Amino acid sequence: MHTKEDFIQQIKENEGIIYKVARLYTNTIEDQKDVYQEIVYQLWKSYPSFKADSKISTWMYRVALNTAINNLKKEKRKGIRVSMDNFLLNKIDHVDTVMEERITLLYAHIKKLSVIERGIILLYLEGKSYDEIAAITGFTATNVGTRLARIKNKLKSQIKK
Amino acid sequence: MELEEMKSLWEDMSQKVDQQKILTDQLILDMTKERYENRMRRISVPETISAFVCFTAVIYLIINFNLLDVWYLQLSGVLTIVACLLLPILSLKSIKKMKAIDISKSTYKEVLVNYAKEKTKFMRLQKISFYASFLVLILAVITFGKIMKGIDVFIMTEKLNWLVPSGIGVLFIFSQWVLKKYKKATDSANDILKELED
Repeated sequence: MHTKEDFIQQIKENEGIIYKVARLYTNTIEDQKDVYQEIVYQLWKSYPSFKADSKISTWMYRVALNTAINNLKKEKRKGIRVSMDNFLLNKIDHVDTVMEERITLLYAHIKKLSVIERGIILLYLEGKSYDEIAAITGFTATNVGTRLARIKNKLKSQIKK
Repeated sequence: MELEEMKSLWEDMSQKVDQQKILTDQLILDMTKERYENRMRRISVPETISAFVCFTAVIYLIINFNLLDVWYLQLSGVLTIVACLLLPILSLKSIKKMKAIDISKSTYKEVLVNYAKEKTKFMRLQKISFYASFLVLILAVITFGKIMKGIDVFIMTEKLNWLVPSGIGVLFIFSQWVLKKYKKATDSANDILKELED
């Protein structure tokens, strides 16, 4: 049985996934907030159809990545957003400036990759196995391996520059 | 920054983000509620207004159709009615189709394919609607000009002498811009599809 309380609990436990995906596919804080909120909404909308026998994180990655991709086609959202002034998405900035700078650089490198590659590298960095990445993305595990090798080479040459 | 360093930095960031716990129960509920209500508003208000305007125009044209006394005015009247009926229907249909995408059941690959295809389709539709709206505008000027002011633009040759070339000029400039935008968007969508095939 999926209750409202269960949903809130799951979102709170996995809010890091939403933050990381939203940041990966946007270039401004405003867009990031928008995508963040849209992901929460899409998770809420699809929560009743989530099957408890599958991993909650797999479902969340899938919904989050798909929402971020779908959001790419919308040029500018004009929707009303919940006030998130006290809800600083780049809160790390206040914790450790040096770390935030390095994270910004890391994201900058990843954002130079194609839209397809970004999702795969995110899941790799999240420590997912090839099979898990395959389950989320729909590519075969072998194909995931090939793509990751290509992405790593790309990143290496990008970093050297 | 090495790849291994990247991975360890990512882990550090994940830990920090997980520790922050910035979402509250109320914030989550507000997000879903606002987004839901906002979505309903976004779809219903502009669609309802444009459909209302179009259908009012259709009723007005039908009532006053007898004022269009020449065959070419009657033809432009019929075409305006068809356009005013078709445009809101097409736009409602495309919204319905967009809403039909189930994000939770599709894989990342499927959504990417869909995104690339929809992007191409959307740009094609934009291109078509650009030319269509220009045509509708001309038709509306002809039809409403006759009904409301009793003017037959086809016999006002003096005004047509500068109206037609300047209209074509505007159309040409805008069409170059539309085509450029169309090509750019279609190319990037094709790149995604090509990359997915690799």
